[in-house]
Amino acid sequence: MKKRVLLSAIVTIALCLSLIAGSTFALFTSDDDIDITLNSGHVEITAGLTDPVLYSVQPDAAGEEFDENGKPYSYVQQPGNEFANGGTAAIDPATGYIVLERVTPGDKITFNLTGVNDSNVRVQYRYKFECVEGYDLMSGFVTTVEGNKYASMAAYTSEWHNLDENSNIGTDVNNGAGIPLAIELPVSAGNIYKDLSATLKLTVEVVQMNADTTDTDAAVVKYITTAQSATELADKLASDEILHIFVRNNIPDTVNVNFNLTDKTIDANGKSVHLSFTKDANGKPITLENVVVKNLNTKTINIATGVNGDLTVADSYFTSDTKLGSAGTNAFIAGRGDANDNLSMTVENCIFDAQGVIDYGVYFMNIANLTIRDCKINNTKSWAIQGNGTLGNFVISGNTFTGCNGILKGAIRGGAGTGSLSGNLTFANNKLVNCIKKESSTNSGNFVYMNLTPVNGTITFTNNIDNDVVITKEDMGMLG
Amino acid sequence: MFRYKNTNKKAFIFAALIILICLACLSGATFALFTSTNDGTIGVVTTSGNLEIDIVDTSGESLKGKSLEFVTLSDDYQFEPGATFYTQGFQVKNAGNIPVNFSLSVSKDDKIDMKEFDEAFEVWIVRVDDENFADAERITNFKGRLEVGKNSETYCLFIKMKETAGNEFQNKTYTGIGVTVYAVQGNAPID
Repeated sequence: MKKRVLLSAIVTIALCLSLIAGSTFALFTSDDDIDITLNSGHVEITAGLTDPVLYSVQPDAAGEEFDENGKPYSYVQQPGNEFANGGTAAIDPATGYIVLERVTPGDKITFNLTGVNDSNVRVQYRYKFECVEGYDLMSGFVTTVEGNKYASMAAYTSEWHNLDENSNIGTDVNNGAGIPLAIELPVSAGNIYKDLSATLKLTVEVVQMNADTTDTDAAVVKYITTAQSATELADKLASDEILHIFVRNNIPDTVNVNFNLTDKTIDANGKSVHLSFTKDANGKPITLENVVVKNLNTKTINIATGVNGDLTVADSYFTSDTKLGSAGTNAFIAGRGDANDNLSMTVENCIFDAQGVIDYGVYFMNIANLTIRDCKINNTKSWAIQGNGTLGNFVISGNTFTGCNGILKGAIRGGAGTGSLSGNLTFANNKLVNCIKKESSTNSGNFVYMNLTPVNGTITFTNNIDNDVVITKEDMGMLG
Repeated sequence: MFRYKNTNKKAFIFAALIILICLACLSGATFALFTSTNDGTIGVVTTSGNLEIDIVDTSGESLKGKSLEFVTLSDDYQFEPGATFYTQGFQVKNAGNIPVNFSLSVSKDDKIDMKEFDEAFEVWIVRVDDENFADAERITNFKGRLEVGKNSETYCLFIKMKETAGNEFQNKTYTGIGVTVYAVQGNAPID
């Protein structure tokens, strides 16, 4: 008997062991289904401008004039929505914008940026108060943000603030009453600010609470300023605090830009400024990001090798009755880049008056993207636009060429052959008036407006006219 | 022997797989945070006022840069001691879009020898509405206020050669006598 029990036990144990060793356990189990509902949070904020209060400077009972140069002036709150000189302030219900009209020196408006965290999670928010249009007038304003005054402010970006769900903007700044803001045109503002307009935009940005925002832990303020000399202009361009620079007098010396630039505008106000973009002092390339030069009345802009990024020249007038340089540099905008450079250039709404003396309106050696639109190019001695070397995409649109000796040419550097575009060519909506065809450099005896084949990318050639007659790309000389 | 469904082990493996996948996501992926931007719907649009004044004739034509014509009392309008002549009427116009305080005064060009001129002549402004010019108030410096688009009263400029002007003033010509209007915005006093 014992032996059977023992044998049975042994067998059982052996079976168990074999099960442990290699087989799948069939354990005691039980299961049940539980549904899990996941709701993701949402981040949303509602903001607006509220509580506008108007003030105007009033002379005191003795009729004395107060100004900010030594004597304190008194702002008197105005009833209703009118300033002392009849200017008005109102919130446009359609746009949410505060609209100020006919503001005069000594007028001020205070208001609050208010809003609520409509998210169902805690968030961080910051706001940006910036001029988007009308820097002339904005340069005369004094802007107050959270109690701090900034003259000629171009943009203010706040630090990040924490905000619980359903809480009001400004909880940690103004006890939930919103962010206090003010704009004033000070008494000292002169006639240069007459009859102007400006638009300021407020943007509120929200991120979830645990986002890493430590790279921007303080408010950032950018300014509008002026420059009177080449040195001053270069210094102010190099400043991170400056966004927009006005030039109010001719600057005879060349302004050398040999450093990186980001988000800069030079507004020359119709004055003469000579700009030269080159590598930095150590021979390293520079990068221009969102750099705009406008309202020039000048002879030339030079761009040397080692300039990358994007540069816009707008609303400017170029003219000269004397040559600007030797072959390749006798051009209003002369770029002599390197094949490794990566520059995109836009030239828009400019007038080039070559007077039969200047070879090219725009000349570029090696450029990644060239856009010339809505310009007038008059009486160039040679091709209105010439490219050399490595050329990318060209967009030539909406221009009027008058009396030019050829319109568009590309040539291999140093060679006399036709050049090519590695990218696309758009030539559209251009008008030719009394222009002259030039002899093709690769097909002697053949006179063309355009000496640029092949184009390796696509060609868009539409709606161009020559002396009021529609012109085809074949007529232009385009065979590609 | 009954076999039981090995659900727990599968549940354990499934859970383990989920955790592994999540860990893979956390370790290598880019965070796409929840964000929102209230952009472009709030701001301030502003225009500044335009202060502009003009001097116009009684028909509203601008006289800026022009000469005031004399309204002659006789066909011969050359000055002689005791002679008084006056000009056409003119008004100050607020051509801007804000009210202004203005001053109106007789002005004399820097080129004039003041001492010599003042020795021989008197100049003053008169309101044209004053019927009796002889007794009219003589204005040398007037201050007033003009609302937007309004014109002032009509004035004219009187010039009299003094009876005491001697022969040394014969055959002389003087230019640069006129009126100057100075204006400031309406909430500022005018000096």
